[in-house]
Amino acid sequence: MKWANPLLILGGALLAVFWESAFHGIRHLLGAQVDLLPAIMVYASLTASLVTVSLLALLGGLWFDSLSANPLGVTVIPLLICGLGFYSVRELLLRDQPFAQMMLGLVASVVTPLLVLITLLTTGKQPLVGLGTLGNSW
Amino acid sequence: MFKRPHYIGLGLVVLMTLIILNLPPRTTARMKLAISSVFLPLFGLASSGHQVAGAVADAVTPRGDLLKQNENLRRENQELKLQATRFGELERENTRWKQLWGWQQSAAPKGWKVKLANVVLREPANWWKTLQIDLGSRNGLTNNMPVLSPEGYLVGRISAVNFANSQVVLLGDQNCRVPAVVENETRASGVIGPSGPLDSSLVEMGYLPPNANIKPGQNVATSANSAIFPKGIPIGKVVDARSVDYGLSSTARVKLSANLNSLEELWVLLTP
Repeated sequence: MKWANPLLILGGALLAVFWESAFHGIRHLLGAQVDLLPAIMVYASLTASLVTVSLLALLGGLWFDSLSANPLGVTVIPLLICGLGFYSVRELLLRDQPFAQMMLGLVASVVTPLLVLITLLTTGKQPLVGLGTLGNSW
Repeated sequence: MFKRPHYIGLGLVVLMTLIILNLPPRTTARMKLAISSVFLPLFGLASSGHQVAGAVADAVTPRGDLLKQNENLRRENQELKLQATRFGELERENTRWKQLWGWQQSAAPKGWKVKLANVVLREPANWWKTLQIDLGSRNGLTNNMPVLSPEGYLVGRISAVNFANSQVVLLGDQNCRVPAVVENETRASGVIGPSGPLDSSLVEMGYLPPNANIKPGQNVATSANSAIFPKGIPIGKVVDARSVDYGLSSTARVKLSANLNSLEELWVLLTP
């Protein structure tokens, strides 16, 4: 059953990306869509192998970008950096504590969109940076 | 910290990403369409889910029959309420279709054919303003076709076309700039640009002449200076205007007439 957890994580990522595109309730409520991929990446980096983390970054990033106006692949490296960061220090974290998990999720939800934005701006794209973008970090 | 195979694997992922990021736009567009086809079964599941929900809702209706046996008066009341709701919904739908048909007959730009499309997906990232519709190249759509709201207000243009669906880039996105004209005595021309940081329904109209005499409430429509958009499509109304570039030009904030957050159906103008 070694493959069950990675499959679950990748399936969850696929559904999360679809949910973000297809359902707009939170966007109407908060004014911005919530990105679930960083949270899934936190879970993967705390519980799964490095292969799963890399696959999640690659596939999750490509799936997200395929439904978005982002250049294809721009989300992959920020997700990978975030996942590797947590993976490399996971033995030092109190990863069984809900509070620690929540704080890690919060950090990931801020860092990943920020890195994507920096990458977009570095590549000469002009994303809309406003309060809606800040809302992405919530 | 990591073993050698790990470094090789991570290096491969980074290398693959860098290669994808540096591919020509046409190739990445094709790759995007191919990857997004993974979600096609989910579209099917979502629509089946709606059908199942509808069937469940229908199955709940016979509860009125049970009430009928016990309380005739309550049953009558319930049936009447149900009928009223149903007729109300039908009336709303009828009115909406009449409006759409009436708009198609009267207000569609002359010489342009229109196709009605349904919005199927929205942009998951918050820094772009795009959505996906259920018409594609099989329906005759190509890039840069203008897209209008059901009421006939400009919404954006087609930015990518797949076989069965297309991406629409909305007004207010950096990639959707529209030559427009303020409908006053000066007929000042400008360009509709990105939306402001606070309110996405407000867009900037720049490159206006300094003596344009722009006042709040004046209508803004597409100008004749565009190879993409036919002239005269309403865009919105001026909210305020200010002088920029040391008085060499002015810029206006325009409130969009179409509510971009609640679009369900759209008109696509097919190139004549």
